[in-house]
Amino acid sequence: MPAIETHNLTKVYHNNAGCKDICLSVSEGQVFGFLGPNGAGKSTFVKTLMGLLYPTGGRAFLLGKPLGDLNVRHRIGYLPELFRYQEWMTGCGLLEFHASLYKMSGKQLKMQVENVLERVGLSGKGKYRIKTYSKGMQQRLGLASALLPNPDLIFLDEPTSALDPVGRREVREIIADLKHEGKTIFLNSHLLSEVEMVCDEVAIIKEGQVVANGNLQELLCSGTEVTIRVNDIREPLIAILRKMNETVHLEGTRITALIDNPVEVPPLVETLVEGGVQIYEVSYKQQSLEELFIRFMKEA
Amino acid sequence: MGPIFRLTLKELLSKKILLVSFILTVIYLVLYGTGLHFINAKGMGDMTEQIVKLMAYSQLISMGLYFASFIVCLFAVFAGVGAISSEVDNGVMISIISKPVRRGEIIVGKFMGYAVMLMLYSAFIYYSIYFLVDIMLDLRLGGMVSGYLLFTLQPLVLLAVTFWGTTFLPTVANGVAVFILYMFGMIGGMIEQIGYAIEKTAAVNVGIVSSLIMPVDTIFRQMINVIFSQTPSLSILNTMGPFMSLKQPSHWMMVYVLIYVLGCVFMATRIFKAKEI
Repeated sequence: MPAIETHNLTKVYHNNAGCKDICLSVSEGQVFGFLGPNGAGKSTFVKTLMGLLYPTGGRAFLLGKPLGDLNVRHRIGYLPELFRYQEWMTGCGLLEFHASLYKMSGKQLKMQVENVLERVGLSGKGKYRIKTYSKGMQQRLGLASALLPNPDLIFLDEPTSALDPVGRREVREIIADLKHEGKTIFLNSHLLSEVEMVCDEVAIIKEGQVVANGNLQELLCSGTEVTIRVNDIREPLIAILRKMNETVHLEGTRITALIDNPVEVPPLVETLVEGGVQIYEVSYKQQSLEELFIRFMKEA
Repeated sequence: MGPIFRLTLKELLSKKILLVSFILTVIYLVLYGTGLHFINAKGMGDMTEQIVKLMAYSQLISMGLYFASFIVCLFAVFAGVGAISSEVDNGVMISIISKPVRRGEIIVGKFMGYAVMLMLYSAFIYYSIYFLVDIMLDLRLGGMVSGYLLFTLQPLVLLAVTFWGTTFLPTVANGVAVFILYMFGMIGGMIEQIGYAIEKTAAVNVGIVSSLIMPVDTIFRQMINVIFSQTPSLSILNTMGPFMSLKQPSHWMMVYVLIYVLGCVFMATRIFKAKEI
């Protein structure tokens, strides 16, 4: 059973912004990255799944239950992008309140509050009022709240936006631990380098629609760039190469091409050799997630 | 609903509005008590002087209760005006709604929290006046319980309307709207009393319509009727003066008020359930 399953899920506002016909399936135990430029519809999608917005079309299921099921929320944690909490409360007080909303009580509640505070690096800070917290501390508190019910599914919307590099690393380690525990994590993030480090699968959204979706490594391999350094080459031979691979590009004595699979390289090399070209070097460069992202933004 | 209710009480206790209101209420009660002390006409001689004294007392008591009602009603409006809208605007509501809690429970839990606080605050003011009159004027008023119940119903009506407004209006707009509605009810009530005094049906009808839209003034008039009718020395004086009642409101009006309160809370729940955050 997928942890998240959406069938043409749509939430469109009056100005036509939002997310449209989103079809996603996130398996249990995965870390799934959801990427897109500002205003693409990432937070709209997550808020629709969390019941903050109502869909205008399509269906979705969380842990096998349809949207709107209240009981399944006992197994879901959520860190919103806009994390604001009652400033007059202490950190512990807020977490105890949130824990009571999950129907936790007594010793279990107090223990779990201490556990999550420690896990997010706020041990000892729970007795202070939230208005004395920095933005980073408030974000950590939000993460602690998301972890309170020991959820099976966790939505993290820009979970490191307010954190320094040390904090970001700590959150990545938390995500890795959660994955190791078999949790499913849905991660909205602008920080592509972080997504690249932790995610198994990604989807890229642009103007409300998914333009790419799949295993992260496979997506990255699909745009691998091969560079062949030669002595000299004439245009007619380049034209032959372009018929084999339309992305072939010549810069001086360097020929570059994008390949989906390494088996595409030998035919290119054979063609060059048969054309009398001397080959000095053949090298690969796997594109980064940022390059993949920009490529899809330009293409879509 | 329990966690929301408890949190609301804690939040109200932590807010400055409660402390400021309490301090200003104490100042009001001190002034009122001082006034009662100097107005006290103990030892007045003949029958005429006794009647004049009782007339003065009746005006003072009704005036004191009128302004006490005004204080507690304003507190209801200012405390509840942003109960939902401010938390939606600043994002605090996001972390609550995403939990396994029904939206209706949020509304009812918050309303109950505010209502309990208002009832305690009302009890403080009402019984302070009650015992000030007893001590300063040597006059034991009737309606110790029934009078209080009607006194506290006034801010609960305003709280219910405020809660309805906070689910779809911005905070300031909600405060302005409810305050104007409250004034509308007060003025309509006075017009109704004048209408009864000069036997003008049109004026009476204006008052009736206004009390259906905002029944707080009607509740006040009923409270005065109950207190004065249960105070032997004042029972014939409950129709005199601007804060009295020339015609006792119907008991069905009280039933209407209860339905009104429940209806406002129900509407607040319906609107909030459909609201996108």
